[in-house]
Amino acid sequence: MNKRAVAFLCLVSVASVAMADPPKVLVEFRIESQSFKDGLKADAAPVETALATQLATLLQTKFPPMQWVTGPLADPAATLTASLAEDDSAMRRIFIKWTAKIGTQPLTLHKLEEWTIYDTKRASRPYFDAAKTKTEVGDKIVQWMRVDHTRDDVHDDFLVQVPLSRQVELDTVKKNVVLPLSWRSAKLGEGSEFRVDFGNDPAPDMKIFLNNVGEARGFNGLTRSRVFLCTDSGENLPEGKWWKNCAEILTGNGAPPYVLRFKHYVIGEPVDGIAGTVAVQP
Amino acid sequence: MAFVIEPAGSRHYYDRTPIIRRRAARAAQEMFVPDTPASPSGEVSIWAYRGTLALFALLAAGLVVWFQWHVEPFVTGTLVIGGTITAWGVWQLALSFYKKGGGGDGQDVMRRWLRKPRAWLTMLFGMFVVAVLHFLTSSVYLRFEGAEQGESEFRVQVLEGKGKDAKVFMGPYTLHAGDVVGYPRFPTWESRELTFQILEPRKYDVKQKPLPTWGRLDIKVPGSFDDKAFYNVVFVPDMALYSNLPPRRIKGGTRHYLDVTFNGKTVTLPDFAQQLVVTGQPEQDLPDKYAVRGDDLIREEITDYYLQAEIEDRDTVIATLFNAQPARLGTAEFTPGAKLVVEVGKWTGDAGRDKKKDFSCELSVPTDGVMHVLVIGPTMLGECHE
Repeated sequence: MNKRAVAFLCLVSVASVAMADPPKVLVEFRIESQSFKDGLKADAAPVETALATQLATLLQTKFPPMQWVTGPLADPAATLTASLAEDDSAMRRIFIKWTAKIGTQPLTLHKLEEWTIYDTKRASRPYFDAAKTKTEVGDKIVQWMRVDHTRDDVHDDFLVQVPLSRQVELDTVKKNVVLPLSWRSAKLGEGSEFRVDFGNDPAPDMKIFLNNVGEARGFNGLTRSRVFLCTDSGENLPEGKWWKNCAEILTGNGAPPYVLRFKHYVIGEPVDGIAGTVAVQP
Repeated sequence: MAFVIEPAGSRHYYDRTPIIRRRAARAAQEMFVPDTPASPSGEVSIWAYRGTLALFALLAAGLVVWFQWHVEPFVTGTLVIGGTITAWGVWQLALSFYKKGGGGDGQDVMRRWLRKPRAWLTMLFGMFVVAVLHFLTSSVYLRFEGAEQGESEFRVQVLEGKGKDAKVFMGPYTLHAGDVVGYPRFPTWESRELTFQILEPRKYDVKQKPLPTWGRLDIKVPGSFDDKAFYNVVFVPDMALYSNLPPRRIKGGTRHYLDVTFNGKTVTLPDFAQQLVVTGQPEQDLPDKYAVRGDDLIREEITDYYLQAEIEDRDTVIATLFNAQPARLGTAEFTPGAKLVVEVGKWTGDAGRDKKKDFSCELSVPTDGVMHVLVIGPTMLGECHE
């Protein structure tokens, strides 16, 4: 093997690894409740950090395709912020409200609801106790994540909006679309689907949907998928045209700008040696 | 001893008795010699004698009553006995002079004296003197009596007048078991309005009594005093305020204050926590933590409030309130029905010395003289407002 071939293989390998780096989502926890601010004072910041870490860990467990991180991050793919807030009633209701950004653009959350931490029938609140605040609010966050519909809300409102990548590879031999997601760590269930969103002009008026996920062998543990639906100007293209008209346009110098996102994410457990997953209960 | 040589033929020339004795005896004899003979025998009739005797009896009774009324508590038993013996001795001495002076055996001196025609005038004069004593003598005595078990000392004083213009009339005295303090005043020309105060312990009401010029006040300490009705109140945070207040032992975070304004004067509890606040008296007189925690009515009223408040953690809240040491906020003594303004807020500013009001309440002191709970907080609409 000559030196050029070795260098090329190394370059492909590095590129594949780089492409496998999952999108980073910044997780923040903010204490906006005046009662907690007054009580905790300087202790509020460590509590925020601890709860953000706990939230990120939980999200990482439930939605592993993304890298949920805390702390300063220069250019996150998206940001999910949980704010501990209170209402104006005499007996303050303390709750977590959610806000999100895609890049720097605020994202409107339609389904993600406020999560009550202390309702008006609970008089004991740890306004002045940082340790207790961490414990009690942390427990509430765990409860929140255990509820099916709240996970669905995170999925529907936020997860499907997070850009996964702006480029894909093609396995021309097997006619697979190779996604820049690590097959092992993304834990994609069999029902997981992706969509390719094109931007505005001069992008084509197309919608491409991918499913049939599995490990892309020979692509450094990335994920492969296949086109299962492709529309052009509102018309479904026949299956015979999917590869040429819908997949091949995603690569090459003339590829229009697009963003790969989840259409639907189902968590699964990858099985060694099998190009598929076993669905697991989150 | 001096002797006087009298001329020969003198009635008493032969008598070698010292002149001072002879003169005393003569004076004693002359005292019973009527100035104006009422009868050939020089003595009054039996009816006049009886009248004079009755006057004498009245005079003696008046003196005894006066003595008993005004003076007896002032003098000790020893002094009474000693004085009586001394008076008896003086009387015996006078009789001995009288006898030596030739005045007879002295057995019927009184009878002879009372039979004199002008004895009744002397009696009348004596009665006038006794009447003056009665009408112009006033006395005030304070005696230790009626104490409860464990009460061994009382500080008491008497003021003349009322209110702010009152001046100390007697005392202050410290009374122990068996003590009697006080004295008669003679002459007294005007009546007085007196106020009796037990300064320590402060659980007794003041007692007001007029003292006429002839009056006698015998005040039992503390038996003559009524127990004072205290109008203390216990402030209890409502559920909303409770949730905002810091637990008692936690330092750090924004501090809360509680102001109570009564009669135009404001007192401040600088660190208001999740606790009860008892107030309504000077601090040293307020019930201690055990009395507040152990008060069944207080416990009942707090429990009732939190039951109707329908909070889930009421047992925790009630336990916290009773486990935390109650704050004792000293004020002037509350009066029944008096208006109170209670303000709760936070300390703000860089130095934490500026007050920022959260809410205030306008409350009335209960009128039944029993310590009650007053719930304060933003949910107590009608009484409290932001």
